[in-house]
This record gives sequence, C-alpha cells and structure tokens, in this order.
Amino acid sequence: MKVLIVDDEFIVAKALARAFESRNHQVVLAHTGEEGVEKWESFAPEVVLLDVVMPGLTGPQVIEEFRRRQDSNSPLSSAKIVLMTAHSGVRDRAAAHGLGANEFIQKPFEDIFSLVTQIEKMVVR
Amino acid sequence: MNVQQTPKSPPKVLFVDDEESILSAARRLLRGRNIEIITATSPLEALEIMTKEDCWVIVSDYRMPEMTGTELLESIKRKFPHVTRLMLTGFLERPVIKEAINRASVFRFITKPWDETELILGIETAIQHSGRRKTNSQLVHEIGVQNQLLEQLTQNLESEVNKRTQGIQESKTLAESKQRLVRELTAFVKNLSRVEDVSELYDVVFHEMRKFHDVSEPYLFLLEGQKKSRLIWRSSRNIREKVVNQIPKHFHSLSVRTSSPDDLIWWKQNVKKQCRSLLAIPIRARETSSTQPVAVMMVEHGLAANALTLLLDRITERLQAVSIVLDKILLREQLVMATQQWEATFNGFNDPIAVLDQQDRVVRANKTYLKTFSGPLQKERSFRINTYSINFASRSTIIPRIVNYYYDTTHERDLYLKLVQSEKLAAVGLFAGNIAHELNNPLSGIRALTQIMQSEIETTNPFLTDIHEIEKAAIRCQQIIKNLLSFSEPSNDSFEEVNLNDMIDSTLPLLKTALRLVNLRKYYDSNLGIVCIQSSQIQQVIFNLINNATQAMGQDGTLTLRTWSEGRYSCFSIADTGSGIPIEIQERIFEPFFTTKGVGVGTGLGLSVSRSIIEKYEGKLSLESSMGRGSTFTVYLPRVIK
Ligand SMILES: Nc1ncnc2c1ncn2[C@@H]1O[C@H](COP(=O)(O)OP(=O)(O)O)[C@@H](O)[C@H]1O
Ligand SMILES: [Mg+2]
Repeated sequence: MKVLIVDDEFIVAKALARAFESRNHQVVLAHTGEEGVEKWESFAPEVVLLDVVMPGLTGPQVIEEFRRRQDSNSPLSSAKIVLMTAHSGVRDRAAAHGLGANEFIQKPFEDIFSLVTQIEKMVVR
Repeated sequence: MNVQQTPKSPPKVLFVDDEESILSAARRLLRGRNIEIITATSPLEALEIMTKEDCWVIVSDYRMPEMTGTELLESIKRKFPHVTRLMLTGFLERPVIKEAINRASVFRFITKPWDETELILGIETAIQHSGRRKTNSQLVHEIGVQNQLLEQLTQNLESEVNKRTQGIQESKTLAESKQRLVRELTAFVKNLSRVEDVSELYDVVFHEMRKFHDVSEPYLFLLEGQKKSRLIWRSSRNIREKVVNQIPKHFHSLSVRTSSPDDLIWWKQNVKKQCRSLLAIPIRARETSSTQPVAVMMVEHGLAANALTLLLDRITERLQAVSIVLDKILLREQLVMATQQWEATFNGFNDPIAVLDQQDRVVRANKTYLKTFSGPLQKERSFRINTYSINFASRSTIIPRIVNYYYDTTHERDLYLKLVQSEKLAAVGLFAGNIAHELNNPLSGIRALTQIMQSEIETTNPFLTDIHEIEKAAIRCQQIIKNLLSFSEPSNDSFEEVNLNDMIDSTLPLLKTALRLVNLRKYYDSNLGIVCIQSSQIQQVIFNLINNATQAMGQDGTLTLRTWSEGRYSCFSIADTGSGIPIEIQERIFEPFFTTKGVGVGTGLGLSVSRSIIEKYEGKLSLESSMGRGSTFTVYLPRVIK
C-alpha cells in the first residue's frame, strides 16, 4: 500500500519509512506540513501518518488544508489518516474523529513493527 | 557629659567582677576617658584595694564566689561611705534589688550585658555624685572646724568673763544646757541629711535613743497601703527586712502610745518576746494633712516615767526631720524600682527600639537593638521602622528625642522571596515538560531504527549486540522522560489501580543519582492489595521522600524501603540513617516553604506537597525521628475494597 509519512523529526520519519518498506509498502516522506499537503495530492496515499506538533502547519491543519484544496467535484481522498502525538492528554478515537482523522497513535512507539501491523489492519478493514 | 570640676588626677573607678572578660571589656570601654579604672577579680581583693586607693566609684557584679555584690557594697558603704556604689546585674528579682538598695544604698543598677552608653553614663553620673558628696563633706568638715574654733573662742572668752563675773554663773549654766540641746538637735539633723536609705535612717534614730540606756533596738514598720507593711529591725549587726501582710487597725492611729494593750498583744504575737514596756511612735507623712502615719516605730524599754518623758520629748522634737528624710528615702526607692522596671520592660521587647537625639545619635537602646545591630549580622535582615518623636521634659528645658521602633520583616520578606521562587519553580517545571517532549521524539526514532536494524541484520553480525545496547539506552532515557513528564502534567493523569511495590520500583530509576551513594534495602510485602491513585502524584511523593532521605544522609547511609498492609491501608515507609529531625520542628517541616536547607537546595515544598497529595487520597503521612539515628516517613493509602 501507499504510505505518506509527515513528520518534522527526521529520524522518526526515517524509522517509520524503513519499517513500512521492510513490509514491502511504498513510502513517501514529508518533513513539513506544507510538503505533506503537496505530496498528499501528488502521491494519493492510502495511509497518511501525521505528526501533530510541527512547525508551520500542524497535523490537523494539514488535514484541513488538504480538504480545502479538494474540489467539490473531485472525489474525496479515501486515505486513512493517523495522527501521531506525544502528548498524553486526549488521544482516543473520538478525539481523532473530531480532528478529521481516523486514529490516534501514541508516541514514542514501544514496538515499531506492531505499529505497522496495526495500520495494515486498519486499511484492510 | 563631663565631670564639672575636673580634678587634677582623673577620678578612680573600681570595677569588681569574677570574670576577667568583663573586666577587660570595661577597661576597653573606659579607655581614653578621663577616668582611671582599677579592677579586682574578687570582693576581698576589692576591699584591700579600697584601703589603698582613693576610689570615687565602685562597680560590682552581683554573683561572685566569696560574697554577693550586695554584701561587698554594704561593707564598702560602712567603711568608705563617700564611694558611690553601682551594681551590675543580670535579671534580678525585686527582693534582691530592694535588699541591695536598702543595705548597700546602691546608686544605680546596670544590667548585664550592658549597653555601653548606659554604663558610661552611669559611671559618669556616679562620679559627679561622688564629687558633690566630697565637696559636701568637705564643707561639713570645714564648718566643724570653724565650730570648734568658735567654741574655743567662746570658752576662752567665757573663762575671761568667769574670772570677772561670778554672779552670772547660774544663768550661764542654764544657757549652756540650752545650747547643748540645740547643738545636739543640729547634729542630729545634720546626720539625718546624709542618710540615704532605710538602714542608715534606722541607725541614726537608734543612735539618738541609745542615750537613754535601757532602750532596745526599735522595730520600724513602713506602712504601704492598708494591708501591707515592711518591718525593719536589726539583728546581730544586720538590718533585716520582711513583709508583713496584716496590719492591725490601731497602727493607723496618729497618737503616741505607751504600753497600749493592743500594741502589747500584737508584739507578743508577732515579735514573740517577753516585753517590759512598749513605746509606739507613729511617723506622719510630710504633708501633715494626712490622717495616717507612713510608719510606726516600736521600742521596747525599761525606762521609768521620768526618763520616758524625756525620751518622748526628744523624739517628738525630731519627728518632723525624720519624716522628711523617710519621705525622701521612700521616693528614691520607688524611683530606682521604677527605673529598673522600666528598663526590664524596655529590654523585654523582642523588637529593637532605640531613642535618638536630633543628630540621629543613639542615646538609648534596648537589648534587642544591641543584639541585632552590633556585632556580626548572622544574615541579611530587613526591618520596617516606625518613628515617632517625643519631648522629654527635664526641669525647665525640653529635650526632643526620636524613638525608632524596628519591626523585623525578614520573615515576611523570606516568605515573599520563596513564593517568587516557587513560581519560578513552576515555570521551570513547565519548561522541563517541553524539553521532555522535544527529547522524546528523536529518542523514539532512535529506538525504532534500532529495532529495524536488529530485525534486518544477520544474527551473526557483531554489531547486533551494540545495536541492542543502543536500544536499551534509548529505553532508559525514555523512562526518565516519562517520569519527568508525570511531574509537569499531573492533571491529565487518570486514576489507576496499582500495587505500591510496582509504584516504588517505577520511581527508583528517576532517583539513580540520588541513590548512588547509599545502601538500598527493600522489604516488600507481596500481599499488599491495590490502591487507586494517580501514579504521577504518588511517584512525586516517593521522589520527595527519598530525595530528602538521601540529602539527610550523605555518603554511606542506609535507605530502607518497606511495604506492608495494615487495617484498611496499604503502607510504605522510607527510612534513612541520617541526621534526624529535632522534635521542635517536626510539625513545622510540613509547612509550605519551611526548609533548613540553603537557597537553591531547599524549597520547603516537598513535604507540604506530599502531605497534601496523600491527604487527598484520605491517607496519612507520618513521621518518626530521633536525633542522630535517622528518620522514617510512613505513607498510609486506603486499599481498594474488592
Ligand atoms: N529525612 C529527613 N531527615 C532530616 N530532615 C528532613 C528529612 N526530610 C525532611 N527534613 C527536614 O524538613 C525540611 C522540609 O523538607 P521539604 O518540605 O522536603 O523541603 P526541602 O527539602 O526543600 O527543604 C527540610 O529542610 C529538612 O530540614
Ligand atoms: Mg525536600
């Protein structure tokens, strides 16, 4: 599947990319929110992994911006959107829906491979 | 103030104290003044010096090994009446002061530790006083000499006249006896005028009565109000004094009584002596309008009626002079007592007070002032000064003075500073939270990459173990950060059901540095039950308690962690082998901002925060400590009932 990873922390983005690639997924990286919006349009991913806190556009703002740019005629992106947050506050699914995403995942990741598995399941569903 | 007639050689002051340090302080203080100071370390030495040196003033300590200051000054007074006597005292009780005034006519009391200006002022006033007395007695002496000359002259003249005039012989004898009476009365009044205290008065009066042989030593009652009197008498050379609480009604009568039944009964009950005849002489106050005596003198005697009349005549003649002197003495006594009382009050204030003159020089200050502003300051203190001006009236002049009352605001200021500090602390906490997040991100990347690498390289690759080490280090860093975060974001934390053993163990990694130098012992009860808490808060309590414990121990202490269950509580205790906590501050250490640690080390918040957290869970935080052995803090948390 096609995975877009948007994270300003280079090493995190890289690790995620490596993990997905090792399971034979196609990965595109973006290091800022703006770049993320561009690549979302051009790459048309099935999964978007979005860091919440970034300089410039934040994760939720990236979602908003992407939606805003979609023509009302053109088909809405069907990508699953996952927000990644380090803050231990609100982080359940309902909160994610409120922000236009499908799921929250908690950083730091305990085991990167089980994270990949979790997201694979999400897309199949 | 200066001595008015500056003598050729400086006046000598004898200082007596059994403590050499006091004497050298006095020498230092009086150096450079027009005073010669002589010192003695014991009363006997002082008495010896007095026989050789012409001292003006003696300053004596009260408590000394051989005799008390009162005894020393009393014997000085007897042998060298012109020396003015000052006494150094700690805080003395009224009876001691009274005794010193009455037996030794102490001129002034100076409290120890002394105020330098007060001591100097006291000594200089005493020197002036002595100076005046010296000139007085010189005058008296000169008058005496002149009198003698006059008498001689008269005698000479008389013998001349005698030879010539025989017939006048009779009238001359008569005139002579009259003259003698007047001379005696004058001598009596002269003696009286030198009297300074009750015992001297007693002596002068008794001396007068002794001329009548069969008269025993009198008893003098000083009536103070309706109910109380002071009884003064002599027993084996010493003047004694005691307070009598019951005064019979007839004592208030103004008439002279000879062997009145009332007096006799009273005498037998209170003085317990076989009594021959008793004479009671009331002494009026100076204002003759008063209907009551200020004193009653009682004399036991064996005089025949004739002699008694003579005695009464003699005494009545002298009563007015006596009452004037008595008045003077009682006033002086009251004055000294009042001064003493005022000084004690002034010195009793815990806040510094100073009286300044118009040039802002301190003319008077209480002890607290001296303690606070002289000598090294222990720490920087701050004061709010209340100032008001007072006019002291002295005879015809008015002396303007300023009174400064210093209100110590150090504590207030410290509290304020700590508050500011704690606000800073909160800011630092927030800041730390942000940093923790910043660090967490790259750490999770590192960790994830090591996981990927481990899954991709062959198991035989020698880098595999290195990569594993990197992953472990990253995990440890993340653990520390997680704990740090639980400090800065306690409110987001949800309630969890946990086991205290796990709770403590999860906190220990955070305290690695603190625990490095101590021996750690754990006695965990595996059957603890579950408590429902917010982890970060209980972690914070554990963190605070262990931190305090390790700070109290330094190197090589033993820290014992114990858990157990007791009644409806799960408990844990943290025991150290440190300094222990003095009993006086055991409650205070739970107050916010109370700390014994230096600035930058202690905030005084640890225990107060901990107690408030534990009490929020309806638990208890208690303390047991013994000095030098160590302290044990125990936390009780209610168990979850299943
Ligand atoms: N285990 C201990 N041993 C000795 N003294 C202690 C111990 N724990 C606390 N104290 C005393 O209690 C005071 C207050 O402690 P705390 O509220 O934690 O503030 P702080 O540690 O910042 O001074 C400390 O300054 C110290 O004098
Ligand atoms: Mg502390």
